[in-house]
Amino acid sequence: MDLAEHQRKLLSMIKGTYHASERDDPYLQAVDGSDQLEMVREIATWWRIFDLERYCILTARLLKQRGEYEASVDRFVKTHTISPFINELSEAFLKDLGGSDDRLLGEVALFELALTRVKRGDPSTYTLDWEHDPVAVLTGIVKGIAFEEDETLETYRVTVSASLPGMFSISQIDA
Amino acid sequence: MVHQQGIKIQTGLAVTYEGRDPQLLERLVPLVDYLEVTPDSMAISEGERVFLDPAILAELRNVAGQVQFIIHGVGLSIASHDGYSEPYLRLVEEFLEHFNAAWHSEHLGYTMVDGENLGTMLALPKTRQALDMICERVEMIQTRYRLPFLLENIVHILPDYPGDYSEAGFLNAISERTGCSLLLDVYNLECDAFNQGFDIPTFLDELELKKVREIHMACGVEHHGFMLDVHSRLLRPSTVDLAREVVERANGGVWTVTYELLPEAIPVLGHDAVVGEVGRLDAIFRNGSE
Repeated sequence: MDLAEHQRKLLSMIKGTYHASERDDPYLQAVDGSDQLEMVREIATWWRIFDLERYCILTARLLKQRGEYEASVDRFVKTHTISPFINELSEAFLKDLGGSDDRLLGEVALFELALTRVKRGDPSTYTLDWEHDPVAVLTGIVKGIAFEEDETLETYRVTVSASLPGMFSISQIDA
Repeated sequence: MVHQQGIKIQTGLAVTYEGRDPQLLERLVPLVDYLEVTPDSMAISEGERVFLDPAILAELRNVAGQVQFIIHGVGLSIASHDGYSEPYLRLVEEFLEHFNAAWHSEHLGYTMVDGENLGTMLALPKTRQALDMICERVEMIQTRYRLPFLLENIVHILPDYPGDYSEAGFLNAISERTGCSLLLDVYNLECDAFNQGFDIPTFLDELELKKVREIHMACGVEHHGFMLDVHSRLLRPSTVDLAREVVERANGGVWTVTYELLPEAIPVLGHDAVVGEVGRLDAIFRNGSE
């Protein structure tokens, strides 16, 4: 048994990019397609679900309110290289969701990404334009109450900077 | 606790702490001898640079005179074919620049393959080739830190590879060859018994229990027919009983029993329940009142 080959094949099997053939070690053949392998995959996602919920509080809550959190993490885990460091993992998750076609989700994720960076000492100023009312959205997320997800007719500017009281401000942009 | 032969055997008590909950820390510290900290969980990564979160270091500094620290890693990946994690060891070194540690421990498993994160931890095949590789790495760690180093048995979700050693035989061989001690996770044994039909009594009979210096106790959940070590619950009586049995049979060799709990579980359980559980363990393991 070659340890390197054994570990590489198990990694690929967990990722679902390799399936054991008759030429493989009987152990790998037995593991492939087993309930145990599926559980290992599920556990890998679970840990990320726990981690990201702790570090991406606003975004995770929004996704949970919609019943989409676990599926979002699962999709992310299956399509990205996973950092062992939680802040790096969180950044990657928020960046990924920030590029989403779902505008509200993207707005919240990019806001949280900017806020996280600024809280950690980033001197930058981030300017984010929202097509939803940030006060209503953020209040709804924090208090766990329903809010209007439809886009508004107005555009809002959210500025995130360490120099601002509370680290962010919201203003309405004139049409 | 009172040994079967009537001799009172005491052991220390520890609890895991990952930071960012100073109110809980303040309540736990008077109850325990050790705080078990995980450098990986305290780390911030910025590009090539990985360092310990200064806010957590400040929390620990506040209690450093009242409790001893134990370093317990998850990211060393000592069993990766392509080498262990140097960034993890740099975190250990950074921690040791700030604080003393009573000892250092890691899991006998791997989380990385060719630099890619598995997202979980797997056991390595217990072959002679693997034994040589692990022993060489353990000896390097012991030389580098001059701290007692303990290796921990991990949970097996995948069945064990049919290697050259049993679980206990492999741990015994590593310990015998390198002089390292063992951290026995009794909840992992229970998970393995549930998931794989693992024979705990035979394992304990074979294991050199005098090498066990620390015991981990935790509780997780049952999911789709598997028992998972997610460290999210208060302890089951069977787990505490198993820990007591090992403490007794190790005959004074166990330095501490440690209650492991994920930070994510604390808001669910509540501070009072966590503190109450640690108090209960104090009564059992340090005062012998149960």
